[in-house]
Amino acid sequence: MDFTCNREIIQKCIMSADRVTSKNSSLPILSSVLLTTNSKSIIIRATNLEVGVEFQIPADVKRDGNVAIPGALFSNILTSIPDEETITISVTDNVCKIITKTKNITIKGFIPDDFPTIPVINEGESFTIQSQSFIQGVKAVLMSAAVSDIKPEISSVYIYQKEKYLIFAATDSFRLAEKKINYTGGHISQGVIIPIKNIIEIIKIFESINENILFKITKTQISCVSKSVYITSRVIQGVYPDYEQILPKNNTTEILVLKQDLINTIKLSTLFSDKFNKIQFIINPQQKKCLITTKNSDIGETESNLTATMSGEPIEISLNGKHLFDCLNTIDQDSIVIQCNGFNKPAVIRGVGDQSFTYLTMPLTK
Amino acid sequence: MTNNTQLWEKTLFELEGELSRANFSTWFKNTAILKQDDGMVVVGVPNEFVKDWLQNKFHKTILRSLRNLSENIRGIEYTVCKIDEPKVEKKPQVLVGSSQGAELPLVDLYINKEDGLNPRYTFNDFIIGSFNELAYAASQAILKKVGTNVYNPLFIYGNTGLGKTHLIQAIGNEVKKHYPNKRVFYTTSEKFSVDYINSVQQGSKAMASFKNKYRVYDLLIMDDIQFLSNKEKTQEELFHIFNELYHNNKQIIFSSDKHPNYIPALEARLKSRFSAGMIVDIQEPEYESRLAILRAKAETQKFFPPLEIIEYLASSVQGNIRELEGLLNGIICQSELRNRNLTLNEIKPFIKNTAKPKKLLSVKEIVKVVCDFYSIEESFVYEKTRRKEILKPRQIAMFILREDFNISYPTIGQKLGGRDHTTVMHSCEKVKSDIKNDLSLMQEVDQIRAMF
Repeated sequence: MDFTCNREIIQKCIMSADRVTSKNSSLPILSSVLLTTNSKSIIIRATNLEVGVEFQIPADVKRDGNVAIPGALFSNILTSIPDEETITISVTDNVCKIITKTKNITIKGFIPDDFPTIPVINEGESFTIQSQSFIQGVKAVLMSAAVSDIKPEISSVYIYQKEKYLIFAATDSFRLAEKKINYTGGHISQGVIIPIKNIIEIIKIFESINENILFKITKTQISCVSKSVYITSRVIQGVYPDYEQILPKNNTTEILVLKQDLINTIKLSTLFSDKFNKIQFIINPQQKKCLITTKNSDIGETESNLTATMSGEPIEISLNGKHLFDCLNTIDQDSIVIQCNGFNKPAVIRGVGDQSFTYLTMPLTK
Repeated sequence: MTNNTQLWEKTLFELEGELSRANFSTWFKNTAILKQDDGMVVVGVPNEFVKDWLQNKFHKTILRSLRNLSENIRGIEYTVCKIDEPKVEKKPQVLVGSSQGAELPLVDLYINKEDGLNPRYTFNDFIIGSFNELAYAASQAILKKVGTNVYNPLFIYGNTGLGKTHLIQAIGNEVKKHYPNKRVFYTTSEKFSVDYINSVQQGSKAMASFKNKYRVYDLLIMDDIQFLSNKEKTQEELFHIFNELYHNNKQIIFSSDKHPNYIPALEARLKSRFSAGMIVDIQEPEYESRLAILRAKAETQKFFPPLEIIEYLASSVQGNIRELEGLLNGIICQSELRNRNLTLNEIKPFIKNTAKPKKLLSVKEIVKVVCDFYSIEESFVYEKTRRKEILKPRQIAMFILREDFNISYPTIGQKLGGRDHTTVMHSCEKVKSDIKNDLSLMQEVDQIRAMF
């Protein structure tokens, strides 16, 4: 094969593609990216057998062919030649020559026929959503997904359609986040559970793209198609817990605070909290008291008074400071509402006037 | 099952020799033969990437190896499925969160939205005893031939808490596992009627989609069918769906707490259809089954009480499995609290406390139920009249008071309008002997009894 293309464009794609390559697989071909010519463009493929990506970039193709070369190496080469405007690649017998104005580089490639195929989805349901909306939905809930893969269905993000919304949800069984994004397309009968590691790759790739993405889902696979990128990922074949049933319908105590105040207080308090980041809230609406205390027998203790608007019954509740902190960062509003239903029931956190994001966190035992 | 595992192991052994180690471990990890059907072998693979690759690259090699081992294999199909990795005895990992306190109560919410089945219900933890073996046998027959068997429809009835839901959900889960192409749907009659009402509200388009929705399934399971009584239009809709499914050889399973003939206000045509296949009942478990159930439940909870305690529980607690479970949970909780096993003497008062009090109904209430059933004025029963339409309910009321509630003859006589105890004795004897000869009387009495 023989082609010339813009250095900046190919570098961007190779860097994205290299993220998806398998880093320490027993099969070396999986750490490579596959370049294939396609009339006036080249196709870049990479996969770790969980996620597969395919980029298409314009190129001046002189001779057809394909080659598989180590992704990390290629990416490093491209970042090291920032001054070049175009590069020319020519391949004979799996030896890849990269030629620029001033440099001549030769890389040993793999046999391209060994490169895995990337599944194409032709059946199943599909829906379209703007890339940035999708990223917004995923990012709002991402931090709540479970890290360990003991239960694969919850170390994932669950996406489904309900009424006029596309709903993103994630939980690690101690806290839960749900984000609704406006959706105008057709009915999607089944939800999709995407492993957390895979969805991180998907949003990383779409981050720099601002266009509509077409999603296609089957029971086993999801694919995301934009003008220049095709991504496909395994999905979890399982059942996502019907979490809507645990979202509290009402509350006994409601607190309204400025977000920044709370963030600062929590930052201070977590310095003195135990290893479970336990922070105690003592709330008494009648006495207009909102006290946040932490105690660590080795270091010391804190006590902060928070200015807050409160209503309902007095309550003492211990929450995980890290969980609170995680969600505060994803709320855009200046003020937030915390709703409690007793010291042993999950507390709900939302931005003021924003029903699209709901965060649930389980109190810690005293 | 073993046959499949062995065949695949041998195939893999051959393939391992032909491929490089890296190739082999990457592409053949977590694969298995799911089933063999008339020369077609279905191989389960972990994801689409592997499916594509095996199909395009290794298909011929795999086919050749399989044919070497078993000559009648014609082809291979690949499907993506979840394959349980061989369970390695892992030390229970200490989760970061495990001491964080309580978890969100999500555990019981793993219900598949698509088919309504709860994967928790399987045959693995289903205990078979003489009380439910007939129902179990019928369910196994269904699993062999879904739809085209004599047990269509299967109607399972029995009192609450005896494992009806467990059994029918397990059938659904098992069918899903063995026949991935069959569409299974589990619903309760209540959900069905809500669904129906909603579609009526939303107009003709919703109605059409409702009608179509239930007709595409290969296995329709409907729980607690007794709640359909008095819902005429819902019954009619079920009737049509039933016919459609039945004619297309689709399997239908119902459960109820009563025999279909005793479900009040159920259309005759539905009743007769329910009776067309197989009607089985689940009885209350007898001592040995109760013992087995308690042991199995205790084991799943990793709780090993002394045998005498389990035996005592099994012998002293009659009634349904749910109650048994509740009691066992209580005892587990108590002994966790005290950090030791409870003794028999400590358990005795505990059982007494939790045993449910016998239903206390006043004579008046019982008489009222009987009168309502025959739609007569309650006061007539207490009067001195021998009109036939009054006499019969009065005698039946006396019979039920005596037989089911153990009230003395004189008291019954006194409460029902100051009658002599011999009158009451005569009435009871009469009803007792009439029941043996008169089928419709027996049904009436059974129906009245079901109302208490």
